[in-house]
Amino acid sequence: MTLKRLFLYFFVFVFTQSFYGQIDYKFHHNTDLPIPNYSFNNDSSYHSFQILQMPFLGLDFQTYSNPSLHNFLTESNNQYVINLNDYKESFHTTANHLLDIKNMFFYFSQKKDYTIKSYGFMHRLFGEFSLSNELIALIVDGNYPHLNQTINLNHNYARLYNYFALFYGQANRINDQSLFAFKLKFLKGFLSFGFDTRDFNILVSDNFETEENPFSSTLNTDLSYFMNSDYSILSNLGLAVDLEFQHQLSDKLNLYTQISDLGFISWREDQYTSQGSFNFDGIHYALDEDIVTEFNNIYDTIVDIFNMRENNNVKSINLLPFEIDCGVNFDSHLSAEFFINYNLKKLYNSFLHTGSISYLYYFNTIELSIISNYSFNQFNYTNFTFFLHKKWNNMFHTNMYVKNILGFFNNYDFGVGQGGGVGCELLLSF
Amino acid sequence: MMTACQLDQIQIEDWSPELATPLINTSITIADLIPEEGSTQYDESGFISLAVKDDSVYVLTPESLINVPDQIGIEDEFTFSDLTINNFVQDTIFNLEDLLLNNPDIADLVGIELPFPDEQEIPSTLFQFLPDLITSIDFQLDDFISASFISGQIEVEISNNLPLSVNVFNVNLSSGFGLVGGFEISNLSPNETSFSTIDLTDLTVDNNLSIEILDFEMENLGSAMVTITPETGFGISFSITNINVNTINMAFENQAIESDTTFFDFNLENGEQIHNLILSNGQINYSIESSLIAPITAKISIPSGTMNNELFEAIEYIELNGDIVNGTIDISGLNVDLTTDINQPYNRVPFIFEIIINSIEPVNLTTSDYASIYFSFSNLQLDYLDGNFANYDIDLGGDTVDVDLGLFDNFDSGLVLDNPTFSISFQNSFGLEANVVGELVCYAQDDINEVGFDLDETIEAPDILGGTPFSSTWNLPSSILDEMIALPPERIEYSAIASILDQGDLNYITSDSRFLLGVEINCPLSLSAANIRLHDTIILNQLDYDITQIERLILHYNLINGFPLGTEFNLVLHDSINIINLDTISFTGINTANNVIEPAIVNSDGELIEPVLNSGFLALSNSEITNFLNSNKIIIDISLSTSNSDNQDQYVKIYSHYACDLKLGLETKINIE
Repeated sequence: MTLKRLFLYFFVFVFTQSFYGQIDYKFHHNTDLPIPNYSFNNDSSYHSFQILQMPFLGLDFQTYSNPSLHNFLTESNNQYVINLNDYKESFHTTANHLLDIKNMFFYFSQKKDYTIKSYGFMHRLFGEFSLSNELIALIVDGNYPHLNQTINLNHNYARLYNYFALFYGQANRINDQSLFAFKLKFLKGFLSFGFDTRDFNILVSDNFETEENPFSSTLNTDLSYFMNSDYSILSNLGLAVDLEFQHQLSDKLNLYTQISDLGFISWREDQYTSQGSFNFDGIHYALDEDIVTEFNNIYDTIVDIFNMRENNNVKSINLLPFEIDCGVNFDSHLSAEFFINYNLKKLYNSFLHTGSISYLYYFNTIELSIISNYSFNQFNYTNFTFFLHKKWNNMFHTNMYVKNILGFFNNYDFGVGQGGGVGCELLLSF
Repeated sequence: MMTACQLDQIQIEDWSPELATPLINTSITIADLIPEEGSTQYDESGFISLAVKDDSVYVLTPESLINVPDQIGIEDEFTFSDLTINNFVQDTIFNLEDLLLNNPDIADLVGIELPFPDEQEIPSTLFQFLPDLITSIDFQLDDFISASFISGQIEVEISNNLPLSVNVFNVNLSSGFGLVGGFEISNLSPNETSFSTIDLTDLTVDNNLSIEILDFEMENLGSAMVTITPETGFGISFSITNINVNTINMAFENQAIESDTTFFDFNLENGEQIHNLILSNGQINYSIESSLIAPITAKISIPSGTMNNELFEAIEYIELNGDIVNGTIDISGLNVDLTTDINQPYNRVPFIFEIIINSIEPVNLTTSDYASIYFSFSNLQLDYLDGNFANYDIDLGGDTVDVDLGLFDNFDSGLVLDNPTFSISFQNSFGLEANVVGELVCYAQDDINEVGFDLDETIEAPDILGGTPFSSTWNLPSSILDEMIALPPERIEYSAIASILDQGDLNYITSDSRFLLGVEINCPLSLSAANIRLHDTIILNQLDYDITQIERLILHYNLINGFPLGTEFNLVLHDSINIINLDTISFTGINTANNVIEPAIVNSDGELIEPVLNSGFLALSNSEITNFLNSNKIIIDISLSTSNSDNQDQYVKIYSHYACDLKLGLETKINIE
């Protein structure tokens, strides 16, 4: 332990004594904010710097939920209470839930002349699931209220990706008005999971006073389920790029566009599919059989009913949930900037559109910059984000932000229910 | 976000789904309730009968009718003191030619031609020199080594083959053990023979005999010429007779040391008289224990027995080794006449055995030698036997027949069957007629109620030997049969005696002869009045469920009654550990009266046309659910009855494939929190 601590002191000492970097107050390079990754005026200028993110001290968490959590989640006696009936009643057609966590394990960036090079290793967990009202009603109410009615369970799905990325990035000033940056990411998938119900319906009928079973069920299934099967080091590899382009229309006005995580991972998956029409009218039991064993073997019966087909270790190439941003940046040169941004995020079978307006102000005397942001999308129309950057001792930088900040202060509605996010990082510049 | 992973801090409320699902389809057949086992039998169409058929409740075999002893033995023992040794004879010839060939100088001197021609003449005076030439004679007895005599004698027979008379011939006879004795011969004319005897009492003699000539004088014919031939000389024959010895060492030729003629008697206890028999299998065993070390020959014969159309005689060559020697003689196929004994012309087998020493090598016998001989017949199996068994009673004994009509226990009183039968069958292939008298008693399970009836049946013999066995059947009168079914019987006890009748002919028995007594009970389940209670069991294990989560549990059922009888269908929740019935769930819905589901519709032949539907639901209370979970057996309790039949006289046939289909669906509301 002592040796490690001495090494850390030495590391910090060498970096703080050997390098000198011009202090930049916009070290928000890794934060998930609807603003450009690079500041054209600063990053394209002729000065040098190095940025080292303190390892394992970068977190970016973001979630969206429709219906809002406060519709069905309450707190009582230090316990969170989920009311499924409220959940069912709080949306009309589809419930969507989204989770996106990014961890920057290591990041180093160096600007020399007009080129910024960056290296890093990060992790991303992305999950998304969408449930139809019919499915939730079936889960919450059971099938009895829908006796003799066909229950359609189409378009329910879930996706979960968990992968690591090793990247190299470079940003270059093309000319006096343009900047181009890219990151090349080598991906290693760790977990992939998903299911789909494309055309799935259930009909349970009563057959009272007939020679049939009192209930019979008919299932039409078109559903699939997969999960990655190979966990070896060299499996589930992929490639992705981040691209950014900025163009300065005037001294105070920039246009920018960027795309991130555009790429794929080639997974090895076990895939299960069920397609067909099946009837189930009860377990057929002979008296000389063990009835408990028959019920214990109901899994086999279900497999028979759903006619599950299994394909093992199948190669499957999946696109990553990439994002596209484009916007305009107005720089007043008075320690203030103004951003308008449009964000397009690819979901499983749709896109999430988010518009935002951001205002940045830098308090020069205390070496503190703040960004206030308002954004809106289908999940949340009142999403306010607050970003805080502070420079310490001319060398350490902390970035912090909280999304949907109103939700955090609104305990009555458990306001983060519609979504939220937090992020933080500790940087060292020299 | 952090607390999201702490599942114990997450509580789900207001989740009470109502579920409806098909649960189970099962079919309870008559075969499940009345399995084909024991006396319950199905025919090809599945029609059920309670049938007990045993063609061999009692089997009389030849072995049990005629108890031929398996072991018949004869034992004899002898010692050497009882042994009479055959006389011993050895002839010796002393030729003149042989004598001169040993003394050729004398022959040359007197002008005698050697070897002798067929005839030659010599002066008779030459014979005056013969006593000088023969002073003693030594010779050995072949095949005789030595003997120590208790008594006996040597007989010496001398034949004069000389052409002139012997006036005096006095000699002493000695052996290696000393002087034996002497004898004297006088005036023995040519071609005459003289007999002399020496007593051997208390003498020991070996085979090195010598004759010392004490006085030998020939007839003097002067100058007369006499004719001599190669046979001219003396012939001496030694015979040892009346031999009784302490020890003897000699070679024996066909020396019989023991023989006996006897009868084996079957000693039958019941007065049966066997005249002839043929053995399909059998053997004579012998065991000889003797101190002798010698080869012997055992001759065993049965004078009235033939084997392969020849008189039976077995010759066994046995090497006695001073210990016990065993052997076996196969007598399979022996045909014996047992009537040769005049005093008892039946059941007796004549038997002769003889033990002979026949040895080229000398055998030493002493008075301490012994031989113990044991003969026995064993593994005797009859192939055929005839004789006279009239007035012989055969006890057929008594036994119990497990008729296993326990299914009747499930019936209440009043069971009326369409056409039950009870019969006793007889089959006889013995060559005899008999009158069987007996009693059969049927006992109910309680061992108190019983129904009995007597049996009196004459059993005849097959028409011819090897012909079709005689068979007959005795049927129980229907009045007694109804009483018997009403018991119902669990077992039948019988006892009987067969008295053999004298039909004037010889009775015969073959190895295939049998007398069989069989019982057949057949009760087809075609009934017009019945009330039967049947059960089957479903075993439950490892049911563990928190019923507090169940708000409502309703079992919907469709029960298709394919039983042609009114059906009361109950599920008895049973705890076999504490041996209590926890609850009873009855299925009473439509088409039900007094908890009895209407019977399926049958035609005039009593066969099923159409099942009847019973439908309803069972709303299980918490206690019933608890009882269900606490039970480890579900007893399907089905009562079938004709009580609600439209036509009380209608016979209904019960088939194994008749089924009651139970189809259960579940409606429930559970509270998941």
